[in-house]
Amino acid sequence: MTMPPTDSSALLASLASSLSNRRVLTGEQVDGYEVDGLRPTAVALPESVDEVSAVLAAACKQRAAVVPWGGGTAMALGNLPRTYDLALVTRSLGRVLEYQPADLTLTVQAGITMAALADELKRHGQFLPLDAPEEATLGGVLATGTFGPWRHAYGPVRDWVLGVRVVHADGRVTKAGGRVVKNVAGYDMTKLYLGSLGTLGIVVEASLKVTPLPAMEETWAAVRPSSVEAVRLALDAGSRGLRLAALTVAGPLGPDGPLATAGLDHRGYAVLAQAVGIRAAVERSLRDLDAVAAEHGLTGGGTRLNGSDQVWGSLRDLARPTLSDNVLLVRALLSPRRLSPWLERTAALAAKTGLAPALAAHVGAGCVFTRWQGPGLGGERGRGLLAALSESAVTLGGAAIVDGCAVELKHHVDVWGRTRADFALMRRLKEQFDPHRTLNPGRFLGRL
Amino acid sequence: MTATLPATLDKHLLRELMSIVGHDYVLHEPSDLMVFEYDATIGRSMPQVVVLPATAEQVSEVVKLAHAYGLPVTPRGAGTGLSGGAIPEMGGLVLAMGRMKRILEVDHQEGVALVEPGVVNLDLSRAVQPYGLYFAPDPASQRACTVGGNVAENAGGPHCLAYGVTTNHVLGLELVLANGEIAWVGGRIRDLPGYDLTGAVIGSEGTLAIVTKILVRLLRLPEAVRTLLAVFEEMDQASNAVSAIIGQGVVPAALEMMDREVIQAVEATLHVGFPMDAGAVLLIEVEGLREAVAEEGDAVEKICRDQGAREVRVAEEGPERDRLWAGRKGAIGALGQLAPNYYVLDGTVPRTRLPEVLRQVGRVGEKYGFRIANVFHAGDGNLHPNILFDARQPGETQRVVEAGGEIMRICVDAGGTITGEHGIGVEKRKYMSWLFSDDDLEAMSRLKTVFGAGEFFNPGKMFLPAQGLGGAGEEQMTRSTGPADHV
Repeated sequence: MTMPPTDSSALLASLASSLSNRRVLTGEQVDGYEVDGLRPTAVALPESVDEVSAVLAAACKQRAAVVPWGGGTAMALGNLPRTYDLALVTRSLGRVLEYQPADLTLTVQAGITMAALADELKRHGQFLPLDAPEEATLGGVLATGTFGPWRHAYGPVRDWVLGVRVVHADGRVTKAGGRVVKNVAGYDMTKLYLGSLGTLGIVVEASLKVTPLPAMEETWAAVRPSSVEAVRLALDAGSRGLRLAALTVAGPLGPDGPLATAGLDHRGYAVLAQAVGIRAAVERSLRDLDAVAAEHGLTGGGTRLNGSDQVWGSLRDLARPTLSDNVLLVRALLSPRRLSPWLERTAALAAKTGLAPALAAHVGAGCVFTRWQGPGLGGERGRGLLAALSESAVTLGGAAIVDGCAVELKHHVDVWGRTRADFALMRRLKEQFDPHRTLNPGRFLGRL
Repeated sequence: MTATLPATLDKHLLRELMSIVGHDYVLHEPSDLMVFEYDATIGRSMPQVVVLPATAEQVSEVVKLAHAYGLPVTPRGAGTGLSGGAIPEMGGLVLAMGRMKRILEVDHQEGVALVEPGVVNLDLSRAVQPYGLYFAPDPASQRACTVGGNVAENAGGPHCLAYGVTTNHVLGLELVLANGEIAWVGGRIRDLPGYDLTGAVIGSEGTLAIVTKILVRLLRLPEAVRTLLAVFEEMDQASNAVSAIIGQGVVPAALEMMDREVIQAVEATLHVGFPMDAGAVLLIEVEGLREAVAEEGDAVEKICRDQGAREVRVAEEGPERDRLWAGRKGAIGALGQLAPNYYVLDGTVPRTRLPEVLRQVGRVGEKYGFRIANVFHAGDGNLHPNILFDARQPGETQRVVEAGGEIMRICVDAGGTITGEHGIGVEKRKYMSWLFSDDDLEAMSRLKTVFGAGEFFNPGKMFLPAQGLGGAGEEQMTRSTGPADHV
């Protein structure tokens, strides 16, 4: 399906009336704002909610396609844009609007980076337990619904957002939810925008729940020779009622990888557990983890890791969306008990292709990131591999999502996997909220 | 949509409904309908007909039929709601979900259960207790209220402080849409890409779809629990203790406050051992690993004493703990001791604003000459001022509603909201404009359009007609008087 090309001079003219010249980039200045190899006509850098609104209203009127852009760390996500005229960068909206630490709530503009947010919270002994790159913006994290190891104890993004302010495709600004921790007034509109890849509106402000930093944390590791054995141990450890912030199986990360640096056998698969809380509780959790390891044949128990930040950081990097001809990064979502069969099939595919994918399996959430690396993955070889992985996930009742691949591959697949019975409602939602398909057209599930 | 049931269709409609659900499960005699005209609020309105379906397929058939006859449909759980959500304000057909009360599946390894909407909240927790699991949302009415009702209102409860409200514990829903279609949203697999339709339906007060199955997440019972009752002379001291506990980085599982009026009512009826002369008590629960509970319990006790608690009682698992909780969960019921009627409010404010907001609430009581009893989720900042009154006195109900409006305004001005867990329903809808602009409300109306629900499901709830969502006018609150109007 093709759309009539947007008149770029008309778009630029109407942008000029919304923003001063220096906040509209054109020509060579748009370098670095490509999405799947497509270049926009212009990049807008609004500095206020009103400016975001004016830019979107102008773009919508011109029937231009807008890609919201935060920290730019996850731009490889999603299907090929149907068209791409304008990048709308939210980074200048980075203020903390309200923060009362004793309320355990915070309201910020969505362009704030996760690093700046973490710094602010840390000064008051608090944090927001969402896994994301430091340079990502909060808005991007909310739009992508990204998650990682902390998903185990702290749940999904939606559990931490109390309310949002959103600029809609036509420039209207609405608020959803509120700033207090319990609020059931009206429909829970906030949920619609989270994980919607900016296709229903651009989140410009958010009120969040935050939580006290744990008194201490300790990372424990035990290495098993296969991913299946490691997951079995991890699932067992997860069933003991311990206070674990994260419980992840990872490997192989290579002879120079962080597991090797931490002194673990890099050829195996490590069960990594982050115990948090007061000292006595952490010590107790670690003792119990050792006991679980012993039941699985590791008589010496596990190891306490030094430099665990590096290990957890590398797992977040492993899962980072990537655009590359030599990478296929697949996120499998499964019921936890299906993790083992999925890993067995993955191991078989690895043997067949001669590749050794690095994987990070967050067992509680039933999520496995598998990063395949090798020449030709952008072509038929990658398509074959992806078809096999998707088939295996779907037959196990789950789903496989492509978080990293070549542009070429995006011409052939919906990176979000198959739509389900509820897609009819989703399509109607998109039609109601963005009838002219201004926001990220084509990039979301079912090419919405 | 008209609420009028044309008399000539009446018999046909009843016959068709009976052919779907069975003769015994269609109620239409006024004496049978009367128990369906109320919930736990002060509103009343009679349906024309009540249908008790047994399956989603029956719900679907009933919905199609009601649609064809132009009859609005209001779903109903146990009728314990506190905002008028289950009251068929425009009359029409009530879908009473009480027969759909099966727990269809418990996966104890993965901690999920598939239940029908009529399952009683506490029955679910009891059924999964042998596996060491429970369902976290625990409204005070949990012995009676249903999981379907919890979903409709996005219900909370004391333990939401640590674990969140209903929406944080539901993974997926089977729905019957306005056209009768049966559709699933969400499911077993977490974090699937796509719009969060499950999140949109939870808390929609039965206006978007009829929920026929619920996939819930279960939590593991903690290995240790410690319950503390901290006794204060003054409510301000108790409020300050709440801020101090949260401010020092302790997030208890529950942190509840009761004021003097409530303590006295509870003690007079339930005899749980609350000190009759106290100004306020905090009921605090910490739970988790034994080691953590010991240390956090001690820390909480010290903070309370530092903030002026004259006594801190400590209970571990067992009858003493059960007694303390019986006092809390029976508190609102016990208010019947103090006055013939009470009107419970539900605003939430930032926790740090509690002391001043509670003082302002007290002043509203003085201004109107009403006693106000406070029992609430202090840790969440979720107030439940109960205005005590006598509905038999002419004009008193109206003045109570006015006083309630002032209290809600205080909550909004403090940066909070008018309802934390009870829902908007009927009596709070005229205050929605304090929280939301016309554009905000218009966005909500688009969600209604997506579900094709119009004014078919639970008409009039949540929105005033002036807000563009076609609801009923405030004066219509008790309009429908039942089938006698129509036959």
